[in-house]
Amino acid sequence: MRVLICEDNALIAMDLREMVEEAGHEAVGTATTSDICFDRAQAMRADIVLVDLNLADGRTGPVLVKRLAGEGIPSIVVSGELDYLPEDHGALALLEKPVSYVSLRDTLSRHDRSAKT
Amino acid sequence: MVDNNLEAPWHLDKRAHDIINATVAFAAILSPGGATLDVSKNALDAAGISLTDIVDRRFWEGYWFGHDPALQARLRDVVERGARGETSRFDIEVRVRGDRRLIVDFQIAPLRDENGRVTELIASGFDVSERERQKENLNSALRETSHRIKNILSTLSAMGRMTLIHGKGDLFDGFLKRLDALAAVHSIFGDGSKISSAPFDAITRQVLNPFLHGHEKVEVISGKKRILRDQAKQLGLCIHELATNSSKHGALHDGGTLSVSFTDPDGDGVTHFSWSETHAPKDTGSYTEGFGLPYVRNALRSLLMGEPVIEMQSDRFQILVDGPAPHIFEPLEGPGR
Repeated sequence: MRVLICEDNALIAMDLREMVEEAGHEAVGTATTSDICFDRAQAMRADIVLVDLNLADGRTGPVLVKRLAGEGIPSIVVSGELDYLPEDHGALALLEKPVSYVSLRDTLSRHDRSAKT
Repeated sequence: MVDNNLEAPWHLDKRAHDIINATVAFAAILSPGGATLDVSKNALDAAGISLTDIVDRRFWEGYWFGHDPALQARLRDVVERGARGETSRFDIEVRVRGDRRLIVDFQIAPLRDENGRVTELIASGFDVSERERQKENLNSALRETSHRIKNILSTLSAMGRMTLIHGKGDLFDGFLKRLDALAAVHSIFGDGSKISSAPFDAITRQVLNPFLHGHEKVEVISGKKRILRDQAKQLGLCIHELATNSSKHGALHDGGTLSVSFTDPDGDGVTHFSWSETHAPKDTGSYTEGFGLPYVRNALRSLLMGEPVIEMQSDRFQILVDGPAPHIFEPLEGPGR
């Protein structure tokens, strides 16, 4: 799968990138704000987006997840602030930070399988 | 049983009236059927009404509760329970003058005669709005602390994995020194509750300090704007990585010159970062990238939203980034430092 990473902490973004590639997917890029992420997700034809909730432009992750869903682009929220998400968040899955490689790999794998069936 | 005719056999008792007026609580005396017989002056003043506006009317129809039909229904219920001898206590939101709201610790308790018959109900309440606000602030602070802990754990976890995958030499020592750099930047922010930003020179000097050993040819140029906490930590780690490389191969190794600069946005809104060092000539052909430079490149690109330009020559190393850096500085009208 083509995975876009929306995370404003460069270190965590690099780590997620490594994990995505180790899990056998393609990390197509990173974004640090919701607007940039929204544009890149479409331009790069991302199959899925990993979204932090607190981005460089503020706590804009929840709105980004809904905007992406509106365009048919699924997202996995990776955040330490999951309590800020509304119940109708529209994300495919929620992963609490710090995220482990195994939970990220398995979540991506589940989505990959369901997307192919 | 709630009164329907509201004709309560009660006449304003001066002593009871004086007692409820002498308490700090809001207070009212009701008939067992719910008719309002007397109300303390502070409760009347808070609502901006007079006793005649409410006396003999159903208590739950008073101004204090008119904004919330569900609350009115609940009060009617506890009045009925009070008439049966039950005491009820809970927090409610009441309306006061100017359509403001207060949180009140509210109670309705029965008053009995010598035969055990309920003769009146005493409604009373303390304004606990401030306590509730403080509780909310505390909960908010605890939640924020929890978020920060998770972010710190994420950063450490990422730092450990990146060091393991891309580090060179003594990996554990490298990890500990990165941890020291983060701790050094963190120490600028004290307990973290009041100081939310720091100037670039404070961040840089704090991180560079362990590398200097009396080195005098180091210049740090800083704008006046202050850098937000999370961004300061990322920038601090960049400075650490650059200083680590410099202490192995560059100016901080052989006594060359080092100039680090971070400007305020110029007239076009562009912030400039530069790290420039000169050192004794050396062979750059054998240089291989570990974790540090890729991190610096990614972090500076992300923080300044500009593309880093790296120039590596035999006798100097330079990294320049120009960008709008829209989310790095504390807004002028921002919170206290």
